[in-house]
This record gives sequence, structure tokens and C-alpha cells, in this order.
Amino acid sequence: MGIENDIYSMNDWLLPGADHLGGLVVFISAIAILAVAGALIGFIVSSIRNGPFEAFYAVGRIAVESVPELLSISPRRVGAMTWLAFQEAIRKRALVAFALFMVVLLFSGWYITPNSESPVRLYLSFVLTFQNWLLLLMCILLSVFSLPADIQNKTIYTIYTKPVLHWEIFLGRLFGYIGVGSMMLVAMGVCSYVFLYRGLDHTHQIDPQSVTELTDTDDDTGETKVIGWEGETTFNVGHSHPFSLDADGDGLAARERQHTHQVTRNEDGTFTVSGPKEMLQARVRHLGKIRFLDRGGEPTNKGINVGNEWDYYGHIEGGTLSAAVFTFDMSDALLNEENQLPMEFNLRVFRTYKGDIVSGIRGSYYFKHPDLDIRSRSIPFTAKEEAETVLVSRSQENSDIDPTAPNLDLVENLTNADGKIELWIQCSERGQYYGVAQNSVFILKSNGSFFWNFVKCYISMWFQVVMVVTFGLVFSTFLNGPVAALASLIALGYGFFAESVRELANGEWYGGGPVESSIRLFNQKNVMVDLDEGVYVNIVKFIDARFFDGLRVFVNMLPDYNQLDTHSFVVDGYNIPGVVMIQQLLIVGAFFVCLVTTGYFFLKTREIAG
Amino acid sequence: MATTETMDSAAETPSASNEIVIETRNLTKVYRDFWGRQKVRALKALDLEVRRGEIFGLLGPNGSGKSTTMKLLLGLLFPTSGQALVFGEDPSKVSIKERIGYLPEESYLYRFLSARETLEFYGRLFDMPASVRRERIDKLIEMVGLKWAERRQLKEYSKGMTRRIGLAQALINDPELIFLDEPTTGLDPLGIREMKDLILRLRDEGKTVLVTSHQLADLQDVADRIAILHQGELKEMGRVDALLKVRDETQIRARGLSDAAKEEIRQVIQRHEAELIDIENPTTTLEELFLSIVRDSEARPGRRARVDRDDSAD
Ligand SMILES: Nc1ncnc2c1ncn2[C@@H]1O[C@H](COP(=O)(O)OP(=O)(O)OP(=O)(O)O)[C@@H](O)[C@H]1O
Ligand SMILES: [Mg+2]
Repeated sequence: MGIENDIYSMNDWLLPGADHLGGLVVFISAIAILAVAGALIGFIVSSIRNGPFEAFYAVGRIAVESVPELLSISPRRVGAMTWLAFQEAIRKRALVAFALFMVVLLFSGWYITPNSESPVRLYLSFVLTFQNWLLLLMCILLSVFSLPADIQNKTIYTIYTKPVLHWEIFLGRLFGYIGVGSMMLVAMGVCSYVFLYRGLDHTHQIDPQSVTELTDTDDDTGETKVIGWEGETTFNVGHSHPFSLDADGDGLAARERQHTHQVTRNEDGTFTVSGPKEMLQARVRHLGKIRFLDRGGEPTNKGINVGNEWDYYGHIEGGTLSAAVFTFDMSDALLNEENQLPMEFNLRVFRTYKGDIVSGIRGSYYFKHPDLDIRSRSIPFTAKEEAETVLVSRSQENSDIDPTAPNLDLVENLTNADGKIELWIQCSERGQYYGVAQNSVFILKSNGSFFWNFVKCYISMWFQVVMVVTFGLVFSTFLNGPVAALASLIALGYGFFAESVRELANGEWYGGGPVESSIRLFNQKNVMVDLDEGVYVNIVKFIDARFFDGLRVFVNMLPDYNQLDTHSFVVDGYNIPGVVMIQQLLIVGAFFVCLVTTGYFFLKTREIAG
Repeated sequence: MATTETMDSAAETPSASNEIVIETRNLTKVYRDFWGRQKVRALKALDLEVRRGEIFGLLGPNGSGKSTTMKLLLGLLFPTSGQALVFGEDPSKVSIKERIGYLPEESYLYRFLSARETLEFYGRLFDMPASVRRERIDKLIEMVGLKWAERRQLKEYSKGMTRRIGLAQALINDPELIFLDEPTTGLDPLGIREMKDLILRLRDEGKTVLVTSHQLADLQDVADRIAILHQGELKEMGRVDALLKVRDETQIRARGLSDAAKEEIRQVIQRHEAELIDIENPTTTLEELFLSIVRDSEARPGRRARVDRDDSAD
């Protein structure tokens, strides 16, 4: 999950809609698919061994027994198994890997100074990525080898002859390793946080001699008055900050290397510089809904497809009526003390011919009432390939010349009864394009707490730990250690490019699904030619649509670790939205339920001494 | 497979009741490889009944299927065909595990735990209050003589010590039915004696014990009944004393006979009229019996050995 991903509201995410199945349907279908596949495979395997009649009985018995067994899970026994897994991990190997992490962290901590251009980014992206991988690898190793080792050493025989349910064996292990993983996660988190603070902490001095006093002479009285000070701090850890203070001797130094300092002038004429400020941010994004207008100004599904990008960006063509329209929920609360609306623009630029690369591509934006035909005058801007903060004044000029209302208020005049306002963005340069997505433009709501954002990022990491451990443990119920490790690694690797696979499954398929393409193949019809209308075409289309639904469910049954990775939010200093955390929780919960059940059946049907 | 003689003889064992605790019917196990191809026929159509309160010995050379039988009875293996019942139920049922104890042929315990932790762990898998658990653990550690090493990790234990802690583990829940797979291997002579005494004590407490061994002497002393397995086939089963009787021979023991008297006895016996001081069937040792069965079985595979033996007639 990156800052670029679309963030859906809970309802859209969970419930079926026009263009998606919704999490709930996917979950229920996944359960159904697993149940049918499990029963079928169990039946086939069992039939080969004992014949179909026995197999039918065996599958039925196992399925029927699972429920009362689930209900009679004893926390005490799960606790005992958890304790065992914990002891095993601690006494055997996990600490070694953890020590390795500490060493690497120490070394990297050495080089983390505010020396670099963007120290926070650098440090956070290194530490979070490195930790994430190390932790997940450790979790794989931890979870994958224990059950096979138990079977190989036959220690499991002794367990099996005690009144322990298969659920308890599986869950106990699972909780044990998740526990170990969590402990390491917490330790890593605390260490990185401390290192981050200590590594970036620095201050500057100010030589009073180098500071210029700013004075102003009163025209009437001829008195000179000090109105402020200007100067530059000393050069420390690779940078210095210019600053200017107000008449009281207070001020913030200029932002440099992702931070500033508070500067105060003391009574005796010396200056005090605080530690770094605003270094670690968690800006809260207030996102809107996007729609596009095509070059003729007509509504369109997506912008023009420029071809080399994923579907994520829509493109608006310069010098036409093409526009990206954002609809925001608007209220007074979003304005800052100076009555400005803080916004951020992250537009992509696409050139069809090479212009002046440095100067960017010109465009304009304006605000419009969603229902009425009133709008503010266009404000020109230049988009470069970087984030840009814009402070939009609350009072905007009216684009119509209307003496009764020369100015329009963002909240009073341009926001409708539902509290919505529209922001229109257009590109002015003919033949050039803007790439715009839902998250490209937003209102900066406030500054959240970096600490909590950091914690949220670690909670996401914890979700990944849960997934990896659960997958590893399920694999280890039927594979031996090394093979299970390999399978887990593949699942993990897959999980990191799952997004593109899903895009593929969701995307446009020219020539239709398997049935339609077979018909085309048979009739030798080009994929772009429409099939003749008729009942049978509808049937074909219906079958194909179900095929795609199935494909989507299937693709969703495989883990997508991107959805659980929020470190880019922290790195870029954006707040992780709560709804993302809840969705992650539900994803992990759904996987957890399916995987634990799968693991149970594998363990239960496995001949332990065979 | 002509005789089905031995079952009723168990009634003679004083502490054995008629309640059947373990039953196998036509129990067969074929080990297969990954592709389902047959590797070993480890057990062939075993029929067995063990009653409450008896000590039942499974005897056989290495690889004869003793451990396989035990694992089938514990639900660690699934039968290829036939059925195994423990307390009248499928051995994989969790409820019966509350009532059994198992000492594996090697101690399959976690080597990173100490003796006390091991017992604590297995104890927690049973439904017993913490106070009872602690009490039992103390008692068992005392019983197996490991008090002095209870806090050391099992990886530091000697073989015999591991065996002892394995036994303690098997008894943690005060089971009704105890499976001991070669309980004496790795023990010193004193340990073997203690193990035998323990088995007898367990019987006195009314528990049922299924014990395997190839240490013939072990079973001879303690088992009420034994079954002899060879290459997965049941070769012999019955009461130990009955099995060891040689029926076509007679042994006379007397004290203080003169040579003349002996001669006279010989004559008397020839005439079938003398008063005998002591006349009985001589016993062979289990070892001899065992070896003869194995030889017999190898000569005529697939047959039950020495079917003429019929202890119920004694
Ligand atoms: N897991 C297994 N896979 C394949 N074959 C096995 C397996 N376990 C046992 N066997 C085979 O089954 C046969 C019986 O083995 P089992 O362990 O029951 O013998 P045993 O009577 O206990 O021998 P021992 O006195 O050596 O313990 C042997 O031929 C053995 O090779
Ligand atoms: Mg054995």
C-alpha cells in the first residue's frame, strides 16, 4: 500500500459495486472454493487409497469432526503449545538473527546524519525496508522448519498421544511464532525510533556578529525602531539555515534538509537555536473523488491512455477541454489560521515533444460549485515532477464579471448544500499531458503525530508477520522444511508483485474471455470486431463474466503484501489513513481464517508417523 | 491359523477382567512411498485382544512390526485395512488420549527443555488443576530418580536418563492404559529391575500395560500374556507360563533319592505305577521358544508356528 494507491471507503471496499466484487464476496467465494477444492482433493486421495465408498465416509467424518473440535479448543493447551514454540525459538536460533539486525542498525546509524539532502527519507526508507525484509525472512525460517523438524525428530508422536486437538497444535505454534515475531518487531521499532531521533538530532550556533539588525525609521517621529534580525546559522553537519526573526526576537529558520530550527534572541544579544523541528511529519491528506472530462469536455471513464503506465493515472490533454475534476468535502475546518486552504499537487507530466524540461508544464486550476454555474477565476501554475504545496486563499476572484459578487468564498459560495466543492485542473500546453490520479491532488488537513504514524506502520508490518508466519506454517504441515521455506519465499515474492497480477485480472481483455475467444478463433474473427447480437452472445458474455469473477477471486486468494506495506507513507511524511488500517486488519483476518482452517485439515489428514 | 485358543485363558490372570481394552481386527499396515507404491508390509492381518488389568507383551525380532502395531493403536498411523480399537473407539479420537500413556521406543522429547519443564509442558496438555500437576511432577521425578538433574536440559542427559524422563512423561496423567515400547533399552541392570517392578506395580494398581521388547527375559518376568510377531505376522499368543510348557515331555524332581531309588523310579515309571513326588511339564526359556519360532517361521513362512500348542488344555 503506497501513497499512490486508491483508498476506498469501507463500503466501497467491502460491498460489491459496478466494477468490483467487494471484499465480502471475494472472501465468501474464497471460502467456498477452498471447501470444494479441499473436499475434492481429499476425496480423490482417499479414493486411491481406500476406494470411493470409504473415501466418501472419511471426508465426511473429517469435515463433521472439525466443528466440535473447533468448539472444544482449550486456551490452556493452546497456551502450552505457544509456550513451547516460544521456548524453541528463543533457545534455538531466533536471537542470532536479531543480533544481526542490531549490528546492521548500529552500522547504519553511524551514517545517519542530517548531512544528506533528505535525511529522514533516506533513513526511514532504508531502515523500514531493511527491517521489513529481515523480519519476514526470519519469520519464514522460524515458522517453516519447526513442524517438519517435529515430525522428523518424532517429538510430535509424544504430542499426538496427548489429548491435543489439531487446531491446538496449529494455533499454538502460530501464536508462538507470531509472538516471537512481534517481540522482534517491537524491539526493532523501538531501536529505529531511538536511532532516528538521536541520529538526526543536531543544532547550530549563531555568531551575534554576523547577524544584521533590521530597523525602521518612523516617518513622523524620526525614531528608529528594531523590527527584526536576519542572518545565517553556523554550518553544521553539512548545512546551515538562513533565518529572520521578528521584533520580539523569535522566528523559524529556513527549511533546509527537511527541517527547520526555532531561533530566539536572548536578552544579552546572543541567540539560541533549538533542535531540529518539523523533521518527522505525518501530514493528513484529505482526499477527494476524481472524474475526467475528455478533450471535448464530455465525461469519460478514464483519461487518455498514454500507454506506458498502469491504469492508475488518467491523463488530461493540454490545450483542450480535457480536465480532471476533484470533488472534495469542504468545510471551514480545513482552512488554516490565515484563511488559506493548504493543498498539495503531485501531477505527473507527459510530454509528446521535448520542451524545456526544467520549467515544467503549464496548467491552471479553478474551483467550481458542483451544482451551479459559478466558478473562480483560473489560477495558472506549473507542474514539475514533484510535490508542490499550494496555499489557496479562501477568497477567490469570480470568473464572471459580476459587480455584486466580485469575489467568491470557497466555503460560502462555492460549496454546495452537501458540503462539496469541485476543483478543476486543466493542462494549457497543446500536445502535452498531465497524469492525474485520485491521490495526486489533496487538501492537507493537519499534521498528525509522527509517532502514531510510525506505530501504524509497524502494525502493518505486524500484519505481514502474521501472514508470513501463517503461510509458512500451513506449508510446513505438508511439505518438508526446505521446500516449505521455498514455497513461503515464492509466496512472499509473489506477494510483492501481486498488484500487477491483479491489475491484469481486473483490466480490459480484448476479445473477451475464454468462451468468446474460442468462438472468435473458430469463426476467425478479429478481436476488435463485435460479435453479432443475439441470445447466444449474451450467454457467452455471461459465462465469460463469471470466468473473470472467478479469476479475480482466485487472484485475491493469493497474498498481496503491497496492501500491507505502509512504509512509503511514513517515508514521505503522510499520515496512514485509519480506513487503510482497518482494511488491512480485515484482509489479514480473512487470510488467517482460511489458512488456519487449511492448516488444520492438512494436519488432521496427515499420517503423522507414515 | 487354526487355533483361536488363547483368548479365554486371560480370565485366569487374577487381576484381569473381561473388559476388552484393546482390540484389533485384521489389522494390516503397508508402508508406501510418496507415489503410493508399496514399500513394506509391516503388519499382516493382526487379531489381538487385550483385557483390562493385564500386562500384555509383544515380542518379536527387529523389524517384526511391534512398534508399527503400537503406532496404529495410538493413531499415529492409519491402518491400510482392518481396524484398531482402543477402549472401543478409533485411536485417533482425542477423548481416549486422556486415558493413555505412551513411552516411545526412543524418547521423542524436546531437548531444549529441562526435565521439570518437560513434565510441566505435557502436564498442561491434560485437564488437571495446577496443584495436582505440580504434585504429580514431584512424585514422578522422584520415582524415576532424576531429582538431582531436574533443571538440566534434556540435551545434556544420558540415554538412560532420557528413558526415565520419557517414562515419567508417559505417566503424567495417571493413565489407565500404558503403552511401553521397549522400555528397558538403555537402562542399567538396576534400572531394568526398577522398570519391571514398576510395570508390576502398575498392574497391581489395576492398569493395563502393553509392552514390547526383544529382551526376552523382560517379558518372561512380567507379562501375563504375550504375542510373538515375526515379519508382521502373529506367530504365537498365549499365557507366558502356558507357552513355555513342553507338553510331550515330563520332568521329575525329587530330593534325597539314592541311586537305587532312582533306578527303581525309572522302573516304576516304566510300569506306570509309582507315586511321583513332583511331575510336571518342563519349561523352556522364552529365548528358546522364540528362536524356535523364528526358525520355524523362516522354514515355513506364512504359517502360524507350532499350532499344536494348546494351553487351555492344561
Ligand atoms: N515409516 C516407515 N516407513 C517405511 N517403512 C517402515 C516405517 N516404519 C517402519 N517400517 C518398516 O516396517 C517394518 C516393521 O517396523 P517396526 O518399527 O514396527 O518394527 P519393530 O518390531 O518395532 O522393530 P524394533 O524391534 O527394531 O523396534 C520394518 O520392516 C520397517 O522397516
Ligand atoms: Mg520398535
